[in-house]
Amino acid sequence: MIELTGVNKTYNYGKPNAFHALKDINLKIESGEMVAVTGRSGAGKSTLMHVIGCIDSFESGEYSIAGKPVSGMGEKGLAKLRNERIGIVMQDFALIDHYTVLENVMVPLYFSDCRSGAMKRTAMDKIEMMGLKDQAKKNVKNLSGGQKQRVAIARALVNEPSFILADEPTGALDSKTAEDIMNVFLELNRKGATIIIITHDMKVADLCSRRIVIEDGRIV
Amino acid sequence: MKVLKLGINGISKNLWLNLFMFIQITVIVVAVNVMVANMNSRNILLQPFSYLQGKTGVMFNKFDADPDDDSMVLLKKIEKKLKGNFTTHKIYWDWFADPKSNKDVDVIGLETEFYKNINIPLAEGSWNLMSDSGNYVECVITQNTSCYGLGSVIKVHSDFQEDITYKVVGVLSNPTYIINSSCTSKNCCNGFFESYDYNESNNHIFMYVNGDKLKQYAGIDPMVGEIITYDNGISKSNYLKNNGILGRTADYVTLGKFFAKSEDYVKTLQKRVLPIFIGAFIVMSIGIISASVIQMMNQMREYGVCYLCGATWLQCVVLSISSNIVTYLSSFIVSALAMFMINMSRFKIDYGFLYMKNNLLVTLGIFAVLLFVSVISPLIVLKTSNIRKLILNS
Repeated sequence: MIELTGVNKTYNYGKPNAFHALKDINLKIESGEMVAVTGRSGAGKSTLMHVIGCIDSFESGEYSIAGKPVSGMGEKGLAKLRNERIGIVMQDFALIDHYTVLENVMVPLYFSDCRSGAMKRTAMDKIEMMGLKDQAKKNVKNLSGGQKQRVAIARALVNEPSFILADEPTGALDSKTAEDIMNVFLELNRKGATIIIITHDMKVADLCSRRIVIEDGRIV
Repeated sequence: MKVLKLGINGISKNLWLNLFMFIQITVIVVAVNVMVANMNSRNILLQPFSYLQGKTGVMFNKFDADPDDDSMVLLKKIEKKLKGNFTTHKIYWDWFADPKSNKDVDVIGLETEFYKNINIPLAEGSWNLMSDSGNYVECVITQNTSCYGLGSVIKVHSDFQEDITYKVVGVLSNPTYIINSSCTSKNCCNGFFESYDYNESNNHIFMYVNGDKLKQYAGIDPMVGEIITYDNGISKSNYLKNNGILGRTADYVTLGKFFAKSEDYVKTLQKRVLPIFIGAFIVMSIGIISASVIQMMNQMREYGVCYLCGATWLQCVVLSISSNIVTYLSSFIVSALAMFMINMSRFKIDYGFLYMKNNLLVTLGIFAVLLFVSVISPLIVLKTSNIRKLILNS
């Protein structure tokens, strides 16, 4: 499903202050897995997340999603991948504060091939899946942390992506809410979703079927 | 289209901020344009005399010396006494009774050089006062109730001089400006021109003619005064002696003072409102910049989120433009309407108001700066930033 071979990422490549953030990464994640990527601060977890999420480029190696190579894709191609194949969940939810729940979940649909007439219905399906039907017209800034993260997950799912990439999804939540959110991920995984969770929280990592440890830019 | 719709939908999400910006932008654009239009309306008055600017000289009013003497004799006597090298620029003034209304018609004639740069607005016709065809004297006339318009021919018979036929080649806008040829050191208010509104003039008609043609065609010198410019290098003692000679005959005003008064008049409105304007401008600029920065920070986060959800940088550009376009377009339209209304109002008559190219340039300049701050700079930041930091730090 997701395969990285010999991927290297260097910030400020070619400049005196170049920093080699990812070193020869080899990683394979099969469809339906729930994988935790752990490591200390500065180990390269976020960089790996950016590369997997097609937010950032890399200068050498191969990366493919469902057999299709990502390397060499232009900006348009990467944007299409982020929109159609990858659902991203961030630590601070990455929601647009003055939008409602429905409007936030609809955002990816504006950049997809979904017809205008079907956007609302498609978004509502995911909102209902997350148990937020009654909050659909509420402004997200009035929601609790757990509810916000559910909105973020609903948005990540709205285009039926190949996998979900979650960067410290419980980092901004209390333990009870974090547990709720992890249950959501577990439920999605049980239904067949591929989930990659970047985390430094071992309790979260323990819930995943596989753990990958990054240290100093390498997978150990 | 969907992206455009998303951008426009965003306007209602930041309604108060957009409304605040709309008001600020409109007020600044209108205020700046009023100042520029006012300066334009007065600056054009100086342009016909631009060939005299920077020269040492005086404006001498012979009429003031002897109103009953129309001849050149007095002035020729004076000129013979003047020291140093100088050039004279005649100002002609004649009058006749309008054959239709029997009211006075004043004829003002200046030399050809003057008309090269004249651009006092006309309602119709042109300032071409020196054509070679026809045995008539071309004129530009103020608006009037005697039905003299473009193409009208006015035959004037005089018992004291040759009959003259005037032909109207241009009609002045109203209100307009008339040469202030009776300006002296005491009464010189606006410099070269005074404002004139035919609705308030009891149908007193003024006509501009080319004085050189008047003399050529009719052989008359109905002059009232002249401007004397001294060649460069006139000594101070000669200059003072000449002023003494002129002053013994009639009042005069130096060109320097004349231009200074004219420029004062140009800047009258600015001097009155400038302190208030500067204060208001600073406050509003701070307001706009603050609002733009807040909007920019909000938008950067939004663009970061959209980028995460699969937007390209170009789509973020469309988002940025569409979310701002309504505010800027509305502001542009309302500013234009406000300017149109000011142009139709008493303000135009009382203070003067003239749109020229620089108004458009100023307006485009203001919009360009604001667009850069609120539309383009967030996109530059987006292009060069780490998306995760952008979202997390906003």
